[in-house]
Amino acid sequence: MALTIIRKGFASSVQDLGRLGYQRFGMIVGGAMDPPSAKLANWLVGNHETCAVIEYSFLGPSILFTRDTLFALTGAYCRPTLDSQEIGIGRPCFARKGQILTIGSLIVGSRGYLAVAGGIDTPIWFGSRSTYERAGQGGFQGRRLEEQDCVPVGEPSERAKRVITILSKRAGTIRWFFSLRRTYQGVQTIRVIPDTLWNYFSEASRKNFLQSEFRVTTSSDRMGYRLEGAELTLDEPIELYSEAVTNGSIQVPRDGQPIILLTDHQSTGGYPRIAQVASADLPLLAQLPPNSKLRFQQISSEEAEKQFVKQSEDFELLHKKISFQLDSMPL
Amino acid sequence: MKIEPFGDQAVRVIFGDQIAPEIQLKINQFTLLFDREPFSGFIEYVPAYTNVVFYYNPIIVIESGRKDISAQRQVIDYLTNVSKRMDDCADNEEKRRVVHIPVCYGQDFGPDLEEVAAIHHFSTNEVIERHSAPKYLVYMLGFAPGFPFLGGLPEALATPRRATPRLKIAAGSVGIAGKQTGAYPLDSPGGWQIIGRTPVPLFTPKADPPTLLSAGDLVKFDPISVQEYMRIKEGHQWH
Repeated sequence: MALTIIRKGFASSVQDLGRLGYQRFGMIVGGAMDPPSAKLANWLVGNHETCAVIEYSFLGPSILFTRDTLFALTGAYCRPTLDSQEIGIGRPCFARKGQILTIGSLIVGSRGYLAVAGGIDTPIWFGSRSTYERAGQGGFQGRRLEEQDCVPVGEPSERAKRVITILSKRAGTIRWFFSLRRTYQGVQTIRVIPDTLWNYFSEASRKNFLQSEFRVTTSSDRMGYRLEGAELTLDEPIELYSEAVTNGSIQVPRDGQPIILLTDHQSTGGYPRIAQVASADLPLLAQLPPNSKLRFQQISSEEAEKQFVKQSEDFELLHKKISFQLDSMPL
Repeated sequence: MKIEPFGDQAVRVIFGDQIAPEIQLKINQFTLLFDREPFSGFIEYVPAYTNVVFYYNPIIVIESGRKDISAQRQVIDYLTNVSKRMDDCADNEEKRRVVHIPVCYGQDFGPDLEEVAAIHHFSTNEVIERHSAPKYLVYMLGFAPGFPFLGGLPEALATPRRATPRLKIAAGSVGIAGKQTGAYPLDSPGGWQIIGRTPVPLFTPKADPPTLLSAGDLVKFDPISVQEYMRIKEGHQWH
């Protein structure tokens, strides 16, 4: 059982929740840029949340199903079709063998996820199926997806098999759907925790960092977002040695323009860091396309942890609701 | 030693503010002590020159610990307790593992060897002797899988980076950049002065761990001939 890539879309790759535990060997964590959306897609097809999915950016791939398949699309809003028939996102969809899914351009948000019942079944490398392009490992042959690739799919769960039985007997798509209820603002507020080097930045820089707008430039990818805005400077040069950096670390190189490190960041870095993005806001940040405007809002690390815990509890509730919805579909 | 929050899912344990073998040893001892009994929710630690970052999952820390205290507080308290047990373990510099890395210096493998020699008014042999004499300390891995940040380059060999970086430096290349020396695990672009190449892989995707080196190891570069390079490349063992 496999998916055949008809059109590759942009930067489509196999991802799961990342490769944890190997950063001390210089390896990256990687994984889905928007983990809650990847989890949601998995839950909708009866998968465990750690199953691998296909992540695409800006333009989704077109895919041929080589067997009857249960799938779901989440993340960025788009208008996908199955053999020219419009289908919705955020819900389980059933495709018959030979049908073609066309995802097309992403309309709101910049990253989408395709989960299939059974999960993408490429080999596990150091505990994860996430694509590690630089090392040429993980994912599908260590690279982005290309046209004609046959991507293997695993065995659907019992929950998924039941839904497949139901949907294979009826026409049309499911009307209910689930979303993460995010609201995108014209100028997105991103909450940040000041780094320990915060006070080494000039007073004007600190003020500008929290009060002025920054723009996401086109030099932005899975490794990080380069921003453009007020110049941030240190009061005086400080000698820094390379040390661990993480998802959401905001580095300021000599040109004074901040870089927010994201999922595919290197494990260590040596630039001064002004702040750290609150974990709860990272998935939303990862959805911002180039030219988006954002503004930083300061919170404490305690508050950031509370927000993250609250968000996780909400997701857990959503997971329960989805499982209930799937299990209560009448045969 | 001090512990600082690093965002909302990590803390940084700081042992000093300069590059020194004693500080690296302390970080090694701390992580070894920690390994005996990690806390629930611990994900991984990443050692660097002066500090080590501990990543954790706050949900698991709270679920398996106390509900009324932040995960961050619980992790800081836990690591503070680990540090209190530090005095029990004796300093043991001799325990460091020495990894011999064979290097074929010069010619096609080290296109910048002659330039490095010219800059310092050495013969190429003097550069090779000086570079292969010390035991370098692996302070940390980063930048790329298996890339070691080595300390101990003789001052006399410190050389600025190339004015124009190369688009591709072959995996295994051994180079100098400022006061640093190191070896490239993967083909990469870079501005280091390349003086030689090792046939031994620094990153082996199918091995566990996938890297030849770990923080705290000592590295000794052993000069080899082109013939020896080819023999090792073909699968003969290096001891």
